[in-house]
Amino acid sequence: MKINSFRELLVKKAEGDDSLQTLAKFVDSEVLAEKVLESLEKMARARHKGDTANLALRDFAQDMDPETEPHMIRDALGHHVSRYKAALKGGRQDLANQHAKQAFNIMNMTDRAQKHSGGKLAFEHVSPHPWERNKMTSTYDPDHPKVQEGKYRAGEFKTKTKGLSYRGSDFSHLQQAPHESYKKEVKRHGHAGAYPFEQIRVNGKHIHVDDHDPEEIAGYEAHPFDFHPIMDHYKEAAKNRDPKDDARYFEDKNQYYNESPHMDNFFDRHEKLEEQDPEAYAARGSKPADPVHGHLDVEPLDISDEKKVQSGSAGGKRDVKTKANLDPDKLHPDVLKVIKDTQPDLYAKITAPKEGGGEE
Amino acid sequence: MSDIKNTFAENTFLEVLKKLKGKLSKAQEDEDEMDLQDYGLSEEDLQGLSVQDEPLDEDDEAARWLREQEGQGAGEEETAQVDQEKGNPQEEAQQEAQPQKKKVGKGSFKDWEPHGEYTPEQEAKMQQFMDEGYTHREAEKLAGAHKGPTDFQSALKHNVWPSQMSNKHMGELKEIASHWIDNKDRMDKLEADPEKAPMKHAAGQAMKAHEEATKDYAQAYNEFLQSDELKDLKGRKRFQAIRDWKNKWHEENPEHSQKLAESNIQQHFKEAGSVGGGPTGAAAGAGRTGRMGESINERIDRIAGVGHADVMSSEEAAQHVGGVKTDMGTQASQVRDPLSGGAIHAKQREIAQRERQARTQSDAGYKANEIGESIHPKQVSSARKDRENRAEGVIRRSGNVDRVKKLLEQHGKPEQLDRFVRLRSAKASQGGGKQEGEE
Repeated sequence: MKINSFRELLVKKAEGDDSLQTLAKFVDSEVLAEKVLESLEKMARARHKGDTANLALRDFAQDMDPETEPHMIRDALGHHVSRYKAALKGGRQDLANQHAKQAFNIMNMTDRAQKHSGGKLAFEHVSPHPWERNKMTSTYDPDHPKVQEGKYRAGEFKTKTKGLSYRGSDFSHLQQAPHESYKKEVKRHGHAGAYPFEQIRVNGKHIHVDDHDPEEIAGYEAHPFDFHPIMDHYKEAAKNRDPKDDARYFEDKNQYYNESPHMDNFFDRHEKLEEQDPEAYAARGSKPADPVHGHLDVEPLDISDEKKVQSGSAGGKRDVKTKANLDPDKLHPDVLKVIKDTQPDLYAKITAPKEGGGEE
Repeated sequence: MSDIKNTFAENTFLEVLKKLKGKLSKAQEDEDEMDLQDYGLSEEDLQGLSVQDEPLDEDDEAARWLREQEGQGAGEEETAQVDQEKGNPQEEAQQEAQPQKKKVGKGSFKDWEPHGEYTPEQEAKMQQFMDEGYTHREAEKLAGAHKGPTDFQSALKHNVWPSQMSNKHMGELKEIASHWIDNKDRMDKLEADPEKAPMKHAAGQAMKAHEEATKDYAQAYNEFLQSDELKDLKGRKRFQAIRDWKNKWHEENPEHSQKLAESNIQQHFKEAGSVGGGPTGAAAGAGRTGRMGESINERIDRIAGVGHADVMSSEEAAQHVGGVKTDMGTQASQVRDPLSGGAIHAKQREIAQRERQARTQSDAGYKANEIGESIHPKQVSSARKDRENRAEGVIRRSGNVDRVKKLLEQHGKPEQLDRFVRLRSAKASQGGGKQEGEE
């Protein structure tokens, strides 16, 4: 079967699922392109993540209660990000680094575990690669031996970014705008300032970021979830694990849930919070908190030279260049109708009588 | 056709055939340019014939529908019509001969509009859905207030344009798509080729093994999570109920832990090699790793025969002492270091063995000298020949490294022996060597 376009391919692939087919047939081209690119990018980066999880991580993911562990993880991230924010406000970069490091540690574990949770754990965040790139900017020179060999290109960065697996202790790069080499990615999600911790979501709910008084923050304070044995075991590669290591994990897990005070501490705090203000407690996570780096004066990355693609509902206005291949005679009438509804300017352009071969 | 008919009357049979042939050739040339579906007849062909469609039944549903559509925006619409005027067969034939393009104009389809016949409950529900982000049309369907075609015939006549989906609805469909993507990812891992994608294959096997080992627990646990016992529990009480259930289940099923330990889930990754996470075992500290996780040290060991308690083929032995692989087997006019590329993969070794066996059965030509000399039958004395045959036989039969060394001492060149000893020393100093004399 000859396939003339990506849309046709999607329609063919979605055979058997009417909703998906309808979506593929009638969605606006720009919206489709944006969503596909976003998905491809996520797939390319994160598709393999968690595939080589060890037994401890698989067990943690499978064994969790969809209401308890995700809640703990969300609370732990909120705790560390809140204290990170307060430490920054108080001018204490060292303390901010400690809390940022632990936040990244928890995010890394959660990102790896979600694949094995059978849908019980869903973790969303903005990839920190564009911010991490600020730290490592040295590139290959044209006369570098490896460039001469053809292994690398001139101008290519020498060091790859690690994202959530970042192992350094300095997280000051999160307070800058993302690196310009990631402009396209930043344009897609629109977060062009300092790193948006407040966009982290666990099972659809945002993390709750408190505004602590910097004076009240004495030093580093752990969260009960930091003591969960999975935080010690998840990083080890599966091929380096012995049955003894797994036995140790199961023992530690048993001890954590049955004997340690951490779960009780966690529930005590939350029962107290709910008692103080039930309405506010119920609304926690329903929308993102104020920007964590909002108090900093960060010049955002300039993404204004190309229009940011907006995903809009019917009737939304866009300003999109007319493409040379948008020939109304070749388009399905239903597609023309959708273009007419969503982009009247574009519709007018493509249906206007052509003048002497001039096309935009 | 008429000219062919005339031709028959006026010409001989041969001439008729020629004319037919000419017509067919021309038709064949025109075929590429013609619309193959254009089976229209020419005016001449239809002389004397009349073509007339049966008039449409006035009460026919299709006719009624056509009339309805024609009534809407008739100015821009072109519909296929059959000329029903009698006595004008030429016109009819012409119209029928030309393929009529049916253009669906603006008038035949219309934009969706709410039908307005909503109950107060439906309106309230619709408003709620619209507040959540759905479009009016989606909200109507979700609220159960939709009035669409109820049967197939009506659906065929449905003439309302589809609408652009809301972001909210698209977000929900994304979730469906993510299940589809996850399933695809799962199948990819399970069906991955172990040669081409060892880590993916290992991930698939580990996933499968884990699911098998925890099948019973996962099923029981999921049933408990859906049960009425937990339905109304929240927070600490929920956690305690789940914890108690888990403790009880593990007490009643002590074999579960054993099964999990025996499933060897992580073994698959060990077998697939070190991709990420660093080298293991003998390769630790060796730095670079090979394609399947084999380190340089492990390759040296394999080459030098460490760990190979059984046969070392004559080919391999020859390559220890610098054999050059040729079509006739391993031969050498100079010593070569096997680490520079003379060592052969196990599979190639097997092929080489088979070739050697085939060669020994073929006519005498160049005879492969397993201890590294190229010889020509005419140049070799019979005594030497006997010695070489014996040497070849010993290596082939025993494969013992020490015997190779002894043979080299007795019959080989000094530099060959020297090379062999140096390789053995290098291996021994790396700590993986086999003791001299061990088989």
